[in-house]
Amino acid sequence: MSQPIKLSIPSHPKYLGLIRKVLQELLDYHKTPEETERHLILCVDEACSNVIKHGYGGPCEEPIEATFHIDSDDFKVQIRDYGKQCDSSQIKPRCVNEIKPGGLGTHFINEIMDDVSYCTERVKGTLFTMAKKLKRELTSAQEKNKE
Amino acid sequence: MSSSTKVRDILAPLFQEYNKAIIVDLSGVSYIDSSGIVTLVEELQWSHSSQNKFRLVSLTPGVKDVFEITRLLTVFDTKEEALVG
Repeated sequence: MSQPIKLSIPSHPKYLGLIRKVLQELLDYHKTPEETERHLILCVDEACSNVIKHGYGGPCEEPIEATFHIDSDDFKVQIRDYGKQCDSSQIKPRCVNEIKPGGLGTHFINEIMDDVSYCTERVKGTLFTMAKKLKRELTSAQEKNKE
Repeated sequence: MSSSTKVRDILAPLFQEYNKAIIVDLSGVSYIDSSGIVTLVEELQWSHSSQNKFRLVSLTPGVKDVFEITRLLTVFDTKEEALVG
C-alpha cells in the first residue's frame, strides 16, 4: 500500500469502536492473520485511550488523528494528538502481577509491538508511533496452522 | 473503555446483595481492553475480600487473547462447570 490511510476521531471513548472497525477492515483487506489483527487493534485502541485519559485529561471533542501504513511486511501506525505532551520517561508499563488502573495498556503495546516511540518535538501534543513486522507474524501463524 | 464503568456499577452491588457465586457470562463480549481487564480484576479482588466466588465463563477468542497477554487466565476461575450446581 503506497498511500497511508488517515482517520481523525474526536477524543471520546464512543468513537474508539469506529477506529477499531476501520483498522479491522484494513487488516482484513491485507489478509492479516486473525490473532495478529486482534493484537494490533488492541494496541491502537489502547494508544487512543491513553490520549483521551492522559493527553486530553478525559473525554472531550479534541482531535485524535490515526495514520495507518501497511506494506507487505510492515505495519506502522501514527497517533497524533494536540493535548498535554507526554514525558516518555514517565511512561511505565504496569507489571501484570500488579493490576491497577493505568499502565496495563502500555504493557499490551510493549508486549505486542516491535517498535514504539513518542515524539514531542512540536508546539502542541504528541506523535506516537508503533510498528510491527507482519511477515514474522504471518509465518508463525502459518506454522501454527500446519501443526 | 466506555463500558467499564457500567460493568463496575452492575457488578459492585451484586457482591453486597448476594452471598453466592457470581458468574459473568462473556459469550456476547467480542472485545475487551485494559480498562475492562482492570474492572474484572477489581471485582475478583472484591470477591476475595467478601469471600464470594467470582467466575468468568464462555470467553470469546478476542477476550481470551487479551487475558493470555496479561497472563491472568490462571488467576480467574474460567471453568465452564461453574454454571452447574
